[in-house]
Amino acid sequence: MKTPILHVLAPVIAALLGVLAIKILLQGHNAPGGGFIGGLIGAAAVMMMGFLASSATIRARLRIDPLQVAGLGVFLAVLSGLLSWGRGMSYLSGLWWYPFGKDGTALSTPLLFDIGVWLVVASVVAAVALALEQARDDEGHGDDEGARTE
Amino acid sequence: MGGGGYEAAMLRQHSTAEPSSEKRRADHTEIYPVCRDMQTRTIPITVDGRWSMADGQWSMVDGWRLLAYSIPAGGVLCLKKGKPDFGCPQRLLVMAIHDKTILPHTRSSRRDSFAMLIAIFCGYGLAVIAPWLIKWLGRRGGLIAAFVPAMAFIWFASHIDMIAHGDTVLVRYPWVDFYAIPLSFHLDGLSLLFALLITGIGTLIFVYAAAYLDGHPRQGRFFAYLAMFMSSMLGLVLANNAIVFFVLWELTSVTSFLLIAFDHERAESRRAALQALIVTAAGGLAMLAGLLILARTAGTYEIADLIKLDITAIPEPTILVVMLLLLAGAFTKSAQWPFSFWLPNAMAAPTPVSAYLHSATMVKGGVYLCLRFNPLFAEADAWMPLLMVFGGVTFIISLFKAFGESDLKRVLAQTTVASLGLLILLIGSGSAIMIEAAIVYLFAHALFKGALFMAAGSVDHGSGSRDINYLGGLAGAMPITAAAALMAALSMGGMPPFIGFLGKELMYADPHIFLILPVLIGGNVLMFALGGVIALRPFYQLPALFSGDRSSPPEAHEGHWGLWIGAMILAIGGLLSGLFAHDLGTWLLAPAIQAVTGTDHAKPISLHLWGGVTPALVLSIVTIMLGLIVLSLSDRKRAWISRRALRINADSVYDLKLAMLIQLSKRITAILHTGRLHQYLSIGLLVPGLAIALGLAYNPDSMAPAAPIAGIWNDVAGVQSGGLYGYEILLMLLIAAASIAAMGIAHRLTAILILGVGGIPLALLFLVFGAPDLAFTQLMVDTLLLAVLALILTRLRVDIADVRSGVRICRDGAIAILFGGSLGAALYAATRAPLDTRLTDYFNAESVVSAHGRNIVNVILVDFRALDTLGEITVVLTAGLAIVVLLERRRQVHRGSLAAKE
Repeated sequence: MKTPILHVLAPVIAALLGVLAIKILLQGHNAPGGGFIGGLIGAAAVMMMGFLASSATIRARLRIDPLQVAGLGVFLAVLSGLLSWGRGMSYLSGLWWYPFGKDGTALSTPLLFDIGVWLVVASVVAAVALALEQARDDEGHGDDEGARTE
Repeated sequence: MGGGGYEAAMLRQHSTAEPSSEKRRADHTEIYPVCRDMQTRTIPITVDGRWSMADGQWSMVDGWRLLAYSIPAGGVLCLKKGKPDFGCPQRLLVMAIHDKTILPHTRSSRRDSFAMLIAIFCGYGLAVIAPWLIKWLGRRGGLIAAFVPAMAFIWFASHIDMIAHGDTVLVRYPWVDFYAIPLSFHLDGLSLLFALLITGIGTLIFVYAAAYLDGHPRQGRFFAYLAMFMSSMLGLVLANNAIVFFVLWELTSVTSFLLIAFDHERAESRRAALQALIVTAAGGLAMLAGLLILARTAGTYEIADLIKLDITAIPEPTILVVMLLLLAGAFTKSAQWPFSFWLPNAMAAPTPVSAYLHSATMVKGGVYLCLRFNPLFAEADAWMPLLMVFGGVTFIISLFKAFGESDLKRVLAQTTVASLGLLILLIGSGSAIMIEAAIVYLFAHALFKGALFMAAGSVDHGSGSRDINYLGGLAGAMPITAAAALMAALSMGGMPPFIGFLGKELMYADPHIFLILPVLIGGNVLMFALGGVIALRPFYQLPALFSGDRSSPPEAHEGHWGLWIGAMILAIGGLLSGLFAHDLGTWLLAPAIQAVTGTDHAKPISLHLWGGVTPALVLSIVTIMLGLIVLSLSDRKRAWISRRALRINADSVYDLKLAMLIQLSKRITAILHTGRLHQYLSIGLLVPGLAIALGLAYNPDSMAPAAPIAGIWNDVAGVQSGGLYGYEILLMLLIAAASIAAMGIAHRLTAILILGVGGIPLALLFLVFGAPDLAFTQLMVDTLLLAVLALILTRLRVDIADVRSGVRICRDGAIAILFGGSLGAALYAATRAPLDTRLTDYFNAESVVSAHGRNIVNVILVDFRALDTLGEITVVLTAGLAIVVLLERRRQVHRGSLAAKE
């Protein structure tokens, strides 16, 4: 798999995918996109790097366990609901702030919620993929022969 | 003027009652408790869930708008002022509409209502901080924690005066408005008595546990469980809403489970905990069914109203079913025969738990239920016989069993079961004096049994044993514990001047008891003898299985003051309450009795230690004489009596049933869960495929083409929409080609790649038809799935080529065709039916207006249906965790096998 082309292009593609994932997340409320799709793209970025390096290296680079990030995502989603609940509205009601004027970028609890979704989807898919790769790395060289003989 | 006018007037009265405070607190939810002597009527509900009155429109009354959805008649009505803007802080006015006067005197202030919530639920707050409290402060942390139940005790005690004057406190707090379930609590005489026992004994238990579990690594968790239990139990005895009552009932079962299983390394503890949970929770579910039937019949969920129902107006079978279901709950919770087996086993819990939950408080839950509903069922035919038979049988059987036990705690547990049986028996006897006796005995039992348990724990702690055959002569080494145990046992045996004596006197005071007199005398004799065994055997006699003249074990010593202070206070309490019985009766017990008998006016009761030479006194003396005789019999004779006693071991029946259940589920699992992915997939595709196909075959009209000739083609080509474009047909052909090609390829990885290729034109097709989000998702899922599958396939040691036999290929093909075909047909049928666009229209209209988003798909995901999404991402997280854990485990196994090879 480790062809020179992949070696050169993978980091670039992964970086582009990463930026795209965030862009898709942020534009999601008004244009195609959202936390779910963005999260899948984010996971694709991680997997792209996974083709290049061992999963142990990727884990070391990420510094934080993807599943912890997923937990943070669910936490953010729950928190976004509590914000409105704490103000006497029903749980998960949307709250909107316009720090940059009425036509400017808006901050809202649905956005926070979507970021939570993004984190969960991206990190869970990435975690599963990394775990699968790690298992493959561990079984190492004997793997291919084993698959053929059985 | 009809009911509408009356209620309108009442509403007006409320909305104008406090004009100034209303404006000031516009942002807060406020509770208006039921007002005094409210006489209103129920409101009929029309089909569409709105409210209407027979005379006059009700949607707007004096500026108050109705916010009620579907509320059973007699439920709670939520009113809201102003526009129906869900986004704004609301001001709810919650009122109770009852079809009859609630209580003669209901006094409540807002201060009360909030304070009561705090008093009830303070334990949950304590549970949060308890682990840190213990971690930082150790034993002192436990003592500080004891302040919480102590404060609650003081709060409840401050209401004694008010309750004794016939007032009650009723508070309501909005909870689940949609189903009209308020958090409503009712403090009356009976609730107050229980609440004082729970918080008072709770305080002592907290102090006791701080010493008993000193240095235990999980002591913080223990306090958290204990505090949660206390709040649940308080809520249980105060709850006025049937649903709230049920929830707290089950919460006490759950916290009891956690506490019994506290030493979870021991299999015995785990089994006992599970057993207690299964038995009591199952009973709780039966009770829920009973409560629901009763509430539906009555049209109200408020217990204070339920128990005032006229039982003759309800069909007899209904009332019988309700009674049996409620009794199922009560008998399991209060360990009545044949459900009594779980309680002795629950002694696997640490002693503070046994003293608190399994003698003084939780097991009285069933007794509380019987007392609470006694006004309702007192007129029913089956009530008295059921209670008397089960109570009486439990009373006698468990006393005999107690003689066969040698573990102090198990002896005490059996006597607890007996006492609970006695209480049920007394309630079932029905007469006012017997109810009085039940309340007095309940109070006495909580004091002496709590004291005895704590003394038993102290003995265990100081001597290392609880076996009465091994212990002996400890009075010298542990004088305070011995004194406390002796006083408590005297109360248990019904000796004057302890409070237990008064309970026994009252039992004998009813002139109509000749039917149950032998049971009562026999039981009390055995109880007296057991009290002697518990209090004399370990402290004053020589150990039965130890020769020598010294105390056994020799190293016994009195423990930390926390270990005996609780037992001592309770034992002295039993003495003082006997000495000042008259005051106790007036202030505390009479209101409780009044609540149970259902009379409106408190009948003053008089409790006196000396009431002259009455038949009751003579019977008491006879009881004590007989008790002394039984006590003087040797241990062997007592064991012999116990063996002669009825031996139906429900414990083994429980094991048998549980084993059968587990066996059954194993068999079913063996059939369904073969571990063969191929089979799962076949079943997973076959069953829905068949279901859809049968559904369509049953309803052939849905598939009928619009025109007989070439109708299908016209539909597919979309005659109405102007036909398909060439590139659309090309995309469809690509999908079909990829699918067919995948079938012909033997190599698995290649086949999956080809299928993935088929997904891309599908995504394009979505894009063409105006669903960019769907296209995006399809593309990403397709790509990631391919990558993940490739990863899995390279490491699963499967054959890389398809090696299925021809028959199996045909069978799998048939399943695939059936599933694909029926799904396609269902889609076709769905598109032929007129599309219901109500939801689409709503989302289209509201997406920008109320959710500020133009991407409707995203708005639905993160706003309109955010709760669904929250559930989904939680599932995703859980699934991810499971996958990673499974892979990790496999890796470890793999490593292990590699290591073994080397």
